[in-house]
Amino acid sequence: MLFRDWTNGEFLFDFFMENMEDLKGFFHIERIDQAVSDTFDDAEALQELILDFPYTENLDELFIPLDITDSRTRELSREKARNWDRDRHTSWLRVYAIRLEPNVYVVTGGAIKLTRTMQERGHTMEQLEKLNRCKAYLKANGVFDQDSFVELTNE
Amino acid sequence: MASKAIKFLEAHQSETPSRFVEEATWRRENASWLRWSRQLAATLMGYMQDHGMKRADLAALLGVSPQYVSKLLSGTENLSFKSIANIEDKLGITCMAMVNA
Repeated sequence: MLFRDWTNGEFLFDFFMENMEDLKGFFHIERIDQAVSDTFDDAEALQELILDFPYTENLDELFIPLDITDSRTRELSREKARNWDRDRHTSWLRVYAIRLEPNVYVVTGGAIKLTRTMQERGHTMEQLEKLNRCKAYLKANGVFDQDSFVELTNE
Repeated sequence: MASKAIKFLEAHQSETPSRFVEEATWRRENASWLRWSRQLAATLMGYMQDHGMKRADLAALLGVSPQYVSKLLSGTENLSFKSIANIEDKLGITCMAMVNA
């Protein structure tokens, strides 16, 4: 679903028209055609990375902890993946996941993140809430060792 | 032996399998022409931005339906040379540039 949106020009056109001020403010990009073309390129690069990745062994190299509270212990931590090698500007595409154990993740969603924090916009806040709901569900079902759990704080 | 986490995930997996690999593989196999289609879509979006146009405005200018404009903007439409030339003529722009290797 994520990649369906990220490779759909119509979706991207509407998204960037609605979020043009963030695009200008945070990335200094004023052209919708550039934003859409860069997203097409990023989505393709990220897709290739995922398709080619030896995911049973190296997923820990693809995801990084969402924030400092998630890096203290990587058990049940909230993680993000993106195309880390982008030229010109950092990639705004994010895939979010909960890390259960080494190389075992539950992907909860993703977003086009144009702002510094996830709390600043509704569509990224929604993703943060999904991450936290998923984490709470996994915790409630005892999927991980409660003793090593590090409580979340706001990003 | 599967870990507790793996067993939990297996027990809770969706009945509807993900189509990511299937769809991503299709995009990979069709990447060459999709790049042209995406370039055309982005060019049209730039044109719309420059001229303050909405989809309906572009449809009227091209003499096509709004649904057809949606297809053009999707970046997934496999267009004919004739269709592309028609768009270029009506808008006075170049959508596809030949690049010498």
